[in-house]
Amino acid sequence: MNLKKAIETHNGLKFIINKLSLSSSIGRQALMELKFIKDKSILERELEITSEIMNFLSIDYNYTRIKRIRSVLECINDISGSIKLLEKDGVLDDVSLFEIKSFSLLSEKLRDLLKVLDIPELKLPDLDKAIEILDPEKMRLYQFYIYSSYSEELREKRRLWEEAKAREESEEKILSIYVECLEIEEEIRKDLSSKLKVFIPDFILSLKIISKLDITLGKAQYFIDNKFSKPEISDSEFSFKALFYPPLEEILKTQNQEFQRIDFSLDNKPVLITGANMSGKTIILKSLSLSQFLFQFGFFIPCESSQLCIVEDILISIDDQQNEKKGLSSFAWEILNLNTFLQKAKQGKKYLILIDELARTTNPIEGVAIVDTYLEMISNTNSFSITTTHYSGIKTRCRRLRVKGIRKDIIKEEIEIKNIQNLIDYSLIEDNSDQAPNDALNIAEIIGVDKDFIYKARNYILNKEE
Amino acid sequence: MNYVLNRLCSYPNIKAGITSIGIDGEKSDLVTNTKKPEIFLYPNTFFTTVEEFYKSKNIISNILSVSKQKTILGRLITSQSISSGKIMISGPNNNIWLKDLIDELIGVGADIVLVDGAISRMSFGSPTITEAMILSTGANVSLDIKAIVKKTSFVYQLTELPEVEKEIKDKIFDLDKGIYSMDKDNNIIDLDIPSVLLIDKYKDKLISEYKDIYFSGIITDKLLDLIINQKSSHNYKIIVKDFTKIFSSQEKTELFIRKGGKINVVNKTNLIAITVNPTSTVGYNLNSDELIDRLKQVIPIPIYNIKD
Repeated sequence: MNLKKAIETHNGLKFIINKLSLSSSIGRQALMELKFIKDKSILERELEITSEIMNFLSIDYNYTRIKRIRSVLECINDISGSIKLLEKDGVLDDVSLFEIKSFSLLSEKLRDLLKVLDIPELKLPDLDKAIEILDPEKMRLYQFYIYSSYSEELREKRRLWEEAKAREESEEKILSIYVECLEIEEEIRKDLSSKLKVFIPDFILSLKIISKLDITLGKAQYFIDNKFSKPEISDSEFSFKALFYPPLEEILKTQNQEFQRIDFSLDNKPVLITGANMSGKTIILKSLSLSQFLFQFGFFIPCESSQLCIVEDILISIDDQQNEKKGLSSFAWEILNLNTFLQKAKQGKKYLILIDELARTTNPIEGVAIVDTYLEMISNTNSFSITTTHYSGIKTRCRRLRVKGIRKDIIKEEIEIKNIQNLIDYSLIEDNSDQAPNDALNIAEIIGVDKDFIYKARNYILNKEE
Repeated sequence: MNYVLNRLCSYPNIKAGITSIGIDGEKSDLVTNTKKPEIFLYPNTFFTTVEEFYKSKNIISNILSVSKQKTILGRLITSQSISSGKIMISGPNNNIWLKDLIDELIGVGADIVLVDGAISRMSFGSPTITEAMILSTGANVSLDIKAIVKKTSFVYQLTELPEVEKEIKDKIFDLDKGIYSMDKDNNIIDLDIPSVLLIDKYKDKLISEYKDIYFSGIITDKLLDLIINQKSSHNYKIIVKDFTKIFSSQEKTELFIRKGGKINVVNKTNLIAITVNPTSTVGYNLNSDELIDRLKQVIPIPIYNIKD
């Protein structure tokens, strides 16, 4: 899985990736090709490099240097097309030769600017010898043409051409000398192209490192600006302190409201989260899946501190508009997902499985049975599972958490749909009962549903209890 | 263009930068079977053209930059000529890019930038992009001297339209969309007309007590018709960004003005000269003395015969 694929299925991840400010087109391209990392040492090193770059960015003294690095990155052009042509023994035209020369000069400039960094992964190859080939006059300028100094014969022919023009000889004569010039130029291009072939591995390495530099600078700056923190890699548990979901936080900010950050931990026991409607259960799942994606693409996490495990894949069943159900009914789509998740988990690898309101579209009796069975089966695997539900009466042994819900100290009259965010305590508490909270009618009342309707519904519950 | 470059050549201290408005891909020379528009450059001239044309150049030149954006004929190559020689020029295909490119050419060392244009794409002559304009006319406009003079003098008249008063200019300078009227105290009122092309639907809004109207887009025959047919048409003052926004025909525009209407521009175009080519691309020759004489009778700015 690469990042491009991952952002297609996860809006939160897409939100963050879109906010990264990269300077070069090769960086932007390489960003989309980032791999989902499953190797602990690679991930560890990736996070370390990001940390080091963040330190580098945070030092005021580096300000000018960073600015210069960014402006070089902006000028970097993608020479991969020319390199492919060189690999196939092709002959480069003046424009491609110009681009290789500019690229090499810029790469050398970056190499110099990066000398202060002690990161072997960002050490650029020396392209000085390649530049020499394209710079016979040793000017080190961002310019190129087939210089007369490449060949005495060419110099002579060009002189003859100029003379012919000055003497106003026949168009035909002038053209024939010019064609001779072109023939010599073509020989020189062939020669230059074959000389450059030796440098193909260096060019490829340089492209790769420059892309990586651009990506790392982009993400490091984003993490500094948005207070993301470096995750710790754990083998057995997840924990988050003050976790937040940036897309929602941004929306709330525009409404002058604050996102309530949550603490959360998880071991290999399945977790069941209950909570009233609008209590943010789905956001908890989205925050967790986002964090896991970020983590395994080598990013930092939107929280104060965290511990995460490397998993094989993140399996998500959240029914919102972004899901494609391929014409299936909600239930069929969900239950087939569940089936796939269980099949994968059974094979023994670690997955992170996030399911929002399992079996909610079916009747409560069978619904409860489905949730119970799923929890039981998943607890016998190595996977981590978090499931939310509205159902009461789930009997399987698992860790139960509940979103606190509507704050008890709120005076009803002050409640309005506008400020409802502030009235709910989103923190998660341990819950030992198997009863899901019954806040649906309270919430319905708050958001202004007809009073008569609420009254009758409450009576209905009372009568039933009697 | 060749004429202007030739004249510039006698000022060796001035380095020129050359580009042109982009063509939309179809190589018109294939259709009309006329000679390709090659430009003759002297050494040390900066120029920008598409990759496709750069490859078939007949000049030795040093590449200075390659654009990231692409036109239908490839990226734009900016370079400096080392020898003299010929090259086909085709530049950016939109105004914003052209503006950036002019800045780039000045950045690499050009003292003056010349943009080859076309009468059909006159928006490039807009004073927001170029500082001055040279109008080229001649046998390619028409083979009838009378028609050439009529068309050329119309364009000249448009470039001579007066600029709106400074106070109003400052107020409407940044309005890029919409149609606005001005009350007695020069307060700007948005008429809420989405486009002049939908003017039929919004006639009533246009015909109000205020007769000074600013059109941020173009003005058309249909619009002028609508105003001309009003009893008070002589009180109207139309304000446009610059003369290139006037898409109405010569007849309608003149009728509007004859009936007492006024047209003002926000930015006046600095038309500095007219060049006349008495030979058409298909080789037809006009009587150049007669043509230039007749033009001089109606147009009081320098007029040059490029064949002289």
